[in-house]
Amino acid sequence: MILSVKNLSKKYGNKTVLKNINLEFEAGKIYGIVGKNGAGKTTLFKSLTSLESANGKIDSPLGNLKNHIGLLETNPLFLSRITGWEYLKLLCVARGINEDNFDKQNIFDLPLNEYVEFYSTGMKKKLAFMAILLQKNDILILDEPFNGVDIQSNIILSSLIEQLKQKNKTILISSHIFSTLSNLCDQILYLKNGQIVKSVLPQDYKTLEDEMKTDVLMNTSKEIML
Amino acid sequence: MLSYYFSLQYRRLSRWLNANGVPPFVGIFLAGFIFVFLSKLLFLKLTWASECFILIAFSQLAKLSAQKRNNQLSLIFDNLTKKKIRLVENLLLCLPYVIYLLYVGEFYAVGVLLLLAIIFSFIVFKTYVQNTIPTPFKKIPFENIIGFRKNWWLYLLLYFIVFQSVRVDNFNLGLVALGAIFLVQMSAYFTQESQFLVWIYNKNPNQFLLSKVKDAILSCLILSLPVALVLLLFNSQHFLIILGVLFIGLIYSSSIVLAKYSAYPNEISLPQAILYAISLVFPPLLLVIMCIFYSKSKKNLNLSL
Repeated sequence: MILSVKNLSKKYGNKTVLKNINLEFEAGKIYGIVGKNGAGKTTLFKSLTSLESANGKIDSPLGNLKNHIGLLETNPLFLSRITGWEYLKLLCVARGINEDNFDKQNIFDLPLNEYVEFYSTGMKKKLAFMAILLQKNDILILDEPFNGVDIQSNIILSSLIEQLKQKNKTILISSHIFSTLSNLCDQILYLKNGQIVKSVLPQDYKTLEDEMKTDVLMNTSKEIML
Repeated sequence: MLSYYFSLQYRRLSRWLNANGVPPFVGIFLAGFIFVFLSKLLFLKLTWASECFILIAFSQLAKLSAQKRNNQLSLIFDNLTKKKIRLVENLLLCLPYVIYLLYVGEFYAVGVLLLLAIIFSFIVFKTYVQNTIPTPFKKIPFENIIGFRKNWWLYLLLYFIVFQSVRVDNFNLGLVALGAIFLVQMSAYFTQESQFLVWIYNKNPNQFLLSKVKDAILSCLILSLPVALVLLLFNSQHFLIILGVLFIGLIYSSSIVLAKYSAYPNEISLPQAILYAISLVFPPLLLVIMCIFYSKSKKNLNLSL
């Protein structure tokens, strides 16, 4: 077991965002987290990385967990007037990794000497992903990694995730694209109103997808007057 | 539409002041008081104060003409409304300067300022080019890289002033430029930092602060040492003064790091900035403030490290 979560709960004021989450993650496996907007996926990820304080217990044999986790945020934040190369250097320096030769490892052919603010959404995401790969983390948390990324890069991303699994890394992915998750994941967790309501293995992915569709359609009672 | 836009801007300002623990009316009164005080000082000390006023207003007008915000305005408003907004905000920005210039009887400067306000409402500045500006801080990202790229022209100007000070044999001018280099370098630390960019560090709060202070000192030395050496070379009789200014500059450069993280994850608040500004005038206070900032920084960083 590389990561175990016991009774994880999180509140923003009176609003409960996560309710008694209990999970166990193993090394060399890919986990998918699905749920509609506001279900608590990002809060769960931020709580696991300790970017958000939460109640409950998070254990790992890795020790100080945050030094072994790479987080890819939904919309990675970049400061202005920083080049891609400098961003990669910053993330390596932060983890004490002495690495300079980023051009050789530039799998997405990003213009590393240009300011990141001029990158497209997809390019920014690829840069952030490349940075957490360079950090050589044991656990990778990828919040909507496929959003805004072109099809070609999605294929590269999926292939890289598979390779990371082969290297015994643990990967947690949230995505709205169910088909991508079902192709990649060893287990999919369905998060609804801050609770894990289902934990599904590959043979039951189709049932889960159908259930989620029904759930969404049944609960759509409002409409915009067009 | 115009009144709604400007009432929204006022609400934003009020919220910002409230978030910094300052009631809006007090904040606006204080800002007015500081403006009048600094203006009086400027006109007392400088013979070319009105030109200086125009230059300050010019730099602020240029910020309002930045491409990004103008594009945003174009997306929201039709062309005529956008032009009206730009004109009114430019005139509002110039208003305090105009009132003061009228008070001191500098009518020529008032005319120039109003003309600038009108012209700038039609101009959109591409704030900086896409070409990457090289920096001497490649190995130590990131505040100083950003700061250098924002203010490279100011550094150039200050180096030029130092050159001039040597040329006309004005030691004090060179010393002021050296002090200004420290101030510009310190301004890099006013950038708000996302929690993610702190969280990524494999360090405890103490180690993190130490590494940041080291980076700040190193960056400060890179920028100020050449100037200090030039001044030493041509004014060796004042070596104690030069070394003193260099030492104080490095202390302030370190303290700004602590000030930044004492407010983390927010920007340095107004009361903190005021406290820090007082310590610039009265350096012994800095020792006390640094202790307070250090303990607050450690507490704040514990959340992310």
